Amino acid sequence: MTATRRASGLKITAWAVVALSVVLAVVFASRFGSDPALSESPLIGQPAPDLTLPRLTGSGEASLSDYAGDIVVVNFFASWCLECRLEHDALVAAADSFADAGVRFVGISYQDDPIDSLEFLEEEGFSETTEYLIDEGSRAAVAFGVFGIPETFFIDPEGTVVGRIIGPTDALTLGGAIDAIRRGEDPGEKRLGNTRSGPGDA
Amino acid sequence: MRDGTVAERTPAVIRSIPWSVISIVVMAAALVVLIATYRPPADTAEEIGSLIRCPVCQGVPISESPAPMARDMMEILRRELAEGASRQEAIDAVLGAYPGSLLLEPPVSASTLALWGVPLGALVVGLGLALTLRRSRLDTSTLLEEAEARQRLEQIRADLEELAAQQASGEIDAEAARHLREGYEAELAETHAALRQLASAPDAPLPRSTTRAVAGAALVVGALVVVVLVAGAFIVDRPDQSSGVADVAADPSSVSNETLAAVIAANEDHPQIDGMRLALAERYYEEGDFQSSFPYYFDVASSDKATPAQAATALTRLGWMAYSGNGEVDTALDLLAQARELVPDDPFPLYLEGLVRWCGRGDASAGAEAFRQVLSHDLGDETVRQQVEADLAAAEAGETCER
Repeated sequence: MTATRRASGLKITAWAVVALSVVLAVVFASRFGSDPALSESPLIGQPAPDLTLPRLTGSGEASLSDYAGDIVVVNFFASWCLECRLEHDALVAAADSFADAGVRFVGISYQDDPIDSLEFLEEEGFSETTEYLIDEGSRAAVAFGVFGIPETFFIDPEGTVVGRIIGPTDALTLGGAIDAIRRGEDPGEKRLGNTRSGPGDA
Repeated sequence: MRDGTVAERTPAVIRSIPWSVISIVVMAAALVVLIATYRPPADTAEEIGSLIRCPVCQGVPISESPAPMARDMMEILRRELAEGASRQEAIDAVLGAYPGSLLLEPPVSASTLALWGVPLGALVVGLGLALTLRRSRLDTSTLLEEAEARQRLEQIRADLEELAAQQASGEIDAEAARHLREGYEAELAETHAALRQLASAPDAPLPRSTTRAVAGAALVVGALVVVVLVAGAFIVDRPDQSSGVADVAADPSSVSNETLAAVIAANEDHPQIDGMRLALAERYYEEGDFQSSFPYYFDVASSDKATPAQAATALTRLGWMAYSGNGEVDTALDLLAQARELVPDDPFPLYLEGLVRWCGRGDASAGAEAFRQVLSHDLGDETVRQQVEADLAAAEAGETCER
């Protein structure tokens, strides 16, 4: 091998290493930048968790399976969550609008003192047709794979999780998702805004 | 020159020692690190918790996070294990509804192939490079020794010829010549033996073509492994519509007329309410259900939250419906004039005003004047322009409007 040919080979190898490094850097940088909270939920298409939780309003407990046969909209909220206040009117209006149409809304108080959650409902408006529950030990949040709130899940009449909204929802999105389930379609997952993971999360 | 064979061979061996030593030291160090950091499969809640990233924190395992959510997850782990769940069952109980990326030791899957496979590819590339460099070094040192041995052979042969010449000319006596010849011949035999040893030595270089082929193949295979794994991971995980959750805006088109009507009824104070009303009114209008569209247009036209464009659209529709449905020319002209005030650059209310003046009031010249003003705007669509030009021509000709 002559010196020239050897130098040429080394140069090609060096460029190949540089090119590979760049490709690796780009790919891994894009992977590291992805937010797992925005990844598709593995729960979509799976049976909804069967949870029994204490009621926030009233006494006793309630299970999601109590509403089998209905479309169930499960919303995680808390008194410390600003975005939950933004979406609250739409949830109450939709719950009341669809109450007689086989759609049941369930509000689950997430990482919140029950007294604070009740005050939140008194301030923002209370839906007579919504079942409000307490997420003791974060069992529901873990079972639904919640990263932050508000998050809203849609369960079809067969008990399958078919949709998820990340962030504060609105009346149109709620209505569109319910319509899609009625047509036998999956509303899928959407992000509508910010979420908060805890009371100190700005 | 005489003791060069062994002496020259020794430095080559010494030169090869650092490479071997470095290799052994590196491998030993890696082994020590592996042994030191080896952990048996986690089976306590704390150990399993150290493998799970807290979903509401930044890069902290749930075993170390003070977040209430993380503490609750740890409690779930402890409860599951206390009830006899296996390690995997306990992990599933906590992470079953979360994406796999929360596991700090992600399992081997299509999306994590690059993570696990790139080091393997890099190892093959490294081996290829190391082989190339080592062969190159061996090539150099061995060829140098061989060249020196051949040089010595030539020198010995020259010395022998010179000795024969000196003996023939009587410069040296027979006894001394024999003694020297024996010495040269011994050296000759020794050099030949050294050459044979070089040729059969374990470090003897392979044919260069073979060396290059082996090193090149290792490089290509390694590079291919890396590229395929990286490309595969990128294809599996690229953030397109098939993966991940996209930001979306509320879209009235995804909602049925009945649902949209229910939503509007329940959200009178919603900031987007006029957009929803207008969307529903337009749907009814396009379906020819003017009666259903009327109240929504009316609400938008009289709303103080509607944008000028929304209000103008509603007024324009109401104006045309007042004329075409009820023959109310004055009402229609009043509504269209209000629309024109809101959107002076929009020629559509003006065109309808021209039609109402021409067709409803029978004033062809007023209609023609409106059409001429319409044509001074950029109408965009050529078909629309042709329609207005046809109306203008008919109005100027004094034809009766049938619309």
